[in-house]
Amino acid sequence: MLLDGRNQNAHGGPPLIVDPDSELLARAQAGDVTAFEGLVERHRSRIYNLALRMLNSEDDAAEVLQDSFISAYRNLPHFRGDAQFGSWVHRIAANHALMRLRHRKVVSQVESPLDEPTFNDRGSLVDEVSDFKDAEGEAMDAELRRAIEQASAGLGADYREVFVLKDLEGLSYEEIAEITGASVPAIKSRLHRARLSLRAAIDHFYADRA
Amino acid sequence: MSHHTCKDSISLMLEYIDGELTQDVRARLEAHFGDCSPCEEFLKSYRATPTLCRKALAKKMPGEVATKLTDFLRRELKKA
Ligand SMILES: [Zn+2]
Repeated sequence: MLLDGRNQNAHGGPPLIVDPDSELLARAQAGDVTAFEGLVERHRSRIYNLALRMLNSEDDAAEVLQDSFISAYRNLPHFRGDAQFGSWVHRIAANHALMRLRHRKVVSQVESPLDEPTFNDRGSLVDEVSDFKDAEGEAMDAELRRAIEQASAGLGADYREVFVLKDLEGLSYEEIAEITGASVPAIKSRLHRARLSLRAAIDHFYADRA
Repeated sequence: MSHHTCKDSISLMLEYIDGELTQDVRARLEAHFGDCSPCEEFLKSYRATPTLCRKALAKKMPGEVATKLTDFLRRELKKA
């Protein structure tokens, strides 16, 4: 909402997007390679994180990084400025990461079964729920970090892609539908199950420590 | 009006957090949370999960990856 307000002019006309990259972008579009390198420098870290979270492999993430910026460079002339450069290149990277993830899915992938809560006959929760005490704290326990990394790596590709794009990267359901080709209800259902499974992994971590 | 079980409640959590439930369903769900501390705790942990995951999965890009990327792009852009 805040974003809408900021991008909307007083007459409710089309959004005025102020892109912090606009100057570098204009120069890059005019063929200035140094300006393009400036854009790369601003966005490479975020793209690397997206690819690494999606693919769980540093080598694959480095390749997605290269592929994404080459695609962006080749498509610069077609970039119309109706989105921010950052979100545009982010979308390109999401597509590259997804293609790679899906290709790999065919090759081989060790998936853990999804961890779901257990209920009794009357539909009541039987698991104890741990208190995620320091969930909002600054520093993260190294073992908790590892537990989350493992749980995320064990998610099936269909689940991991929606979880990464929504909960880690902050895309909307509609954007994810466009990128993945899945329906919004299917995306929500996968996201919910991915969250349950990750929640369970964190819960186990706290339960073991208690 | 029928009561929600824990199972119903948990299956509605995503839409609850997204603010997409009808007022009626939301009221019933909140009534359940009020009566059921395991579900209330579950909701808290469900909500905290994305934040924790974001923190756990944030990585610093190694300097050599950045260098490799720069070298790669310089080579490729020269060709273009
Ligand atoms: Zn309950």
